[in-house]
Amino acid sequence: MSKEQTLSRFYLFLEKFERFDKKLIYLVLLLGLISIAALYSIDKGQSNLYFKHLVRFFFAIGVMLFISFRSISIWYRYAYHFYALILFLLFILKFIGVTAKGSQRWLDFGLFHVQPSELAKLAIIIVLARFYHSVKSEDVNRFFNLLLSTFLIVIPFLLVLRQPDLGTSLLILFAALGVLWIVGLSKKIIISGILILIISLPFAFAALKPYQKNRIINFFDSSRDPLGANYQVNQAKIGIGSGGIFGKGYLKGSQSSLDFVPENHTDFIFSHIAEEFGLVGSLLLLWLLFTIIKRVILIGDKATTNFSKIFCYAFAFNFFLYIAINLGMVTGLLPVVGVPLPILSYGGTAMLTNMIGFGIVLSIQQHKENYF
Amino acid sequence: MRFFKHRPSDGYQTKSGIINRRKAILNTVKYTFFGLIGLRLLWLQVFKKKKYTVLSDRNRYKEWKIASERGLILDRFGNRLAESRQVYRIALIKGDVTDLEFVLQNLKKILNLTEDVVEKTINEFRKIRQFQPYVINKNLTWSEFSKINSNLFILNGVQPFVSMERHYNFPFEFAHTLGYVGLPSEVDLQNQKNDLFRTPGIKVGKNGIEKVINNVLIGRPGFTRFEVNAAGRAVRTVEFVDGVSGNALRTNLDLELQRLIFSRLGSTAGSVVVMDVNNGEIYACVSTPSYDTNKFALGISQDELNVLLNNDRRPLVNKPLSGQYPPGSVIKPLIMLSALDNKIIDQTYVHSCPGKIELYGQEFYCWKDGGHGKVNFTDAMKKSCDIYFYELARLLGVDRIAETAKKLGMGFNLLPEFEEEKKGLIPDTKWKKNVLGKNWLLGETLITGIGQGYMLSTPIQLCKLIAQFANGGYNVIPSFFGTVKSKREKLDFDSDHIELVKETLNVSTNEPGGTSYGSRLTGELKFCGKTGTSQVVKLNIKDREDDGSPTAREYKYRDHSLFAGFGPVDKPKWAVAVVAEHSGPGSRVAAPVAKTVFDFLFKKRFTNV
Repeated sequence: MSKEQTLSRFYLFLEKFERFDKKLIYLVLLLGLISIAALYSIDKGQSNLYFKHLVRFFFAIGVMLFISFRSISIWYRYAYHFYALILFLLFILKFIGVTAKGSQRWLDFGLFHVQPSELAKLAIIIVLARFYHSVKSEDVNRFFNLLLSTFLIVIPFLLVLRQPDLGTSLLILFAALGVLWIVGLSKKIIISGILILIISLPFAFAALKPYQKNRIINFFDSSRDPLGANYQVNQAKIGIGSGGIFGKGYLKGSQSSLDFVPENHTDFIFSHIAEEFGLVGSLLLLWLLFTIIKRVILIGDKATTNFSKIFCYAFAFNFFLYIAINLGMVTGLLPVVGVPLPILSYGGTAMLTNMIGFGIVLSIQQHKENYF
Repeated sequence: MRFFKHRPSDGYQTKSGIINRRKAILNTVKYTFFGLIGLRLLWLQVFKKKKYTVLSDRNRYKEWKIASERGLILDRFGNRLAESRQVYRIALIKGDVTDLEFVLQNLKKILNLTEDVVEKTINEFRKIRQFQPYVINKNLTWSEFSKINSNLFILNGVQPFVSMERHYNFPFEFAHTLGYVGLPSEVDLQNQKNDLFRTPGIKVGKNGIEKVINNVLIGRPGFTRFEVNAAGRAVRTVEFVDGVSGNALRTNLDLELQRLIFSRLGSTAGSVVVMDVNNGEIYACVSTPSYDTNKFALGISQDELNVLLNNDRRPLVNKPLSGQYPPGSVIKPLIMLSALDNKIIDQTYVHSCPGKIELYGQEFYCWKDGGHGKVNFTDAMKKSCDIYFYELARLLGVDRIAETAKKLGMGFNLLPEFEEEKKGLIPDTKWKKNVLGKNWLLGETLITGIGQGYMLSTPIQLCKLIAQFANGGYNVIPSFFGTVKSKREKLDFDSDHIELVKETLNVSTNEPGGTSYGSRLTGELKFCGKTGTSQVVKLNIKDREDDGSPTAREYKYRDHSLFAGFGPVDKPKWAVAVVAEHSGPGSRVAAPVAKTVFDFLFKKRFTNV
């Protein structure tokens, strides 16, 4: 390769870099830093979780940037392959998965553990985006197409449900439904679906594990069993509420630091942030999350292909879904389901998944002129 | 169902058009939800902040209270009656104790713990919360303490510490008056509004003065505030607040006098109350036999307690306050006052005593066989002629006697804060009708006139009664500590009548032939008073013949010996009431005790101001 070529490639790279939606990158970086600071504050630096999260975060940022420089057409081309790979991982989980907390969710890769169910959320969006990209809008509600998409959705759903991981499997389902909504699934079908869901609810409830039933019952009666199933939410609410308007100050929160709030590093991290930074801090965080969603939707708006549009909207919806369910749960508006707060919660694969998603979104923004 | 119908009017829509429209709807959902979360945070963090802050602090901080030193109890000259002493103790910390059985086995070896203590420890230990200390109820000697300290490495969760324990310097003499302390009972805990009594190892007054002014003596416990984690383990010490020792209490008691009386009573079961006739300050309040309050403060064993409970001389009863006796002849000044007050008689009244009268088909005896012959006003008291007072009572009727008695404060609680105090009983017709459901019999009026029958009074009431004669008819409110500062309240009696009765009392002691002449003091200062011999059972002829030999009857049927008097005669300062249970005539047992008391008071305490 000649020197000129190298130089021109370099300038091309710089040019690409210039074109990036830097605001989105900054926002994501900010979110990551907040997360690391919060993790540090929970343990007052006594554990290295925050450092692990830091390393993972920058690794994930690297992955995001790497993906964003690649053409979006790669994802379009290999969507089914990616989906198949994830299904394969979910499938082999049954045999070689690491069991923790009563469910087989992790694959051990020596250096790190991977949770394929997290990646499945991304895979389902990509594969459905790919699928509906080629389906004409008037054919969306055709029975055959519906059947195909149902298959695409139900297989990972059941594989994750079997682990067992109700929360994630429901999120996969919702993410998929989000895509279906966006591509214009007829309201008739959606309403029928909702009716069927309501009718089957009692049966589904009967099939739940006792602890899951308890969570749902407790949600409707919060005074019940304050030291048992409601303990988590009560303690989280104490953390949030005691923060007040301006919070207790950084490193001064006690609820999470003294382990009163369970899952304080993962699902309930918002409680700690709200305790230390109060209403002001938590509303700023809400604004930050909301702005990220808006940026992603904006990129979707400017995207030229339907695959890109569908992906952006669906990813934004998925991101929103996580936030909504997590915050709803932490503030006691929704029953407790193990859903992390994207990027903020400690956890490698979930963050990686989100960063891959942002990578793809950035790639969409970067490669608007790519048509498939 | 129009909704489900195919509507061609929608026209052709481009795919991206549909996507955009659907996206917009989704966005609305998102806005709404974020708004909802925002409102929820506003609710939790602004409107509910107070509630959650309290809950958060309750989570976060735990206080380990340290019982403070209990206040001293002093006598009127500043001598220490009760104080706190350093003792060595050990506590077991729940959660730190890994093997309770093993630890207790070892402790048992080192400390010679009894099986009781071990069992109690196991039971109580189960109940306490994680990381709370349980204090083993045994004081350690220095050598035990040091042995524990050198064996701490195998005794996981054992915490030796130094604490202050109540010590009574005169445990027997002041047992009933001061009372003792002990661990709070369930009832104590329920009655207490704050959690002061929840302080580990705290002792509260169980009876006597210790109980009455427990809140003054107990002080304010110090505490160490820890930050604890969710498991309850202390993470760091936030603050340490020193407790405030209880205030010292200066009582009106006189140590030297109390000890003197206690030894003078010896094995006699009885009580003595010495009171200032003007302000009601109680100089001495002795109850015998007594018990060791130091043992109670440390927790007495059931066996030792049973011995005390089964003793027929009732050592646990605070006799001056809760012993109720027929006052016997000691009531005679009251009857005489009542007669004068009601204008039944005057000082010239004379009545003949044949030794025995028959009324309403019943025989009533004078204590003196053969009678006193013609008895005048002064001699009636001096010789304590029963027939004379039968006549006064007959003329008065029981209701007028009761009225006078109540005016003088008989039949009421004098120290209401002492729960053990009894009210005594002043009978009248209404009372009998209401309580016993029977009509009053005239014969009962007669024996009321000599303090027998239904009438009951406590030694402290008798002391107050005589004090009110001594001070010229002013109300006296007895007090163990402090002085009731209210204005001296004149009782509704003619001062001349009071003086007349006082004079008869003087004669009873200081003139030959008086009932307590044998116990008189011959010095410059004299005392006077009324003896009393109150019957526990109705006497039959044989008993009358045996009279004089105190051991003739079974102990519990013997007469009580009473005396109530005051001195000095010219300028009354003290009133003394003596009740010696089941020990014979008042002149033989009770009056000599009073003599000892007055002798001491006149020699050691009297200053001619």
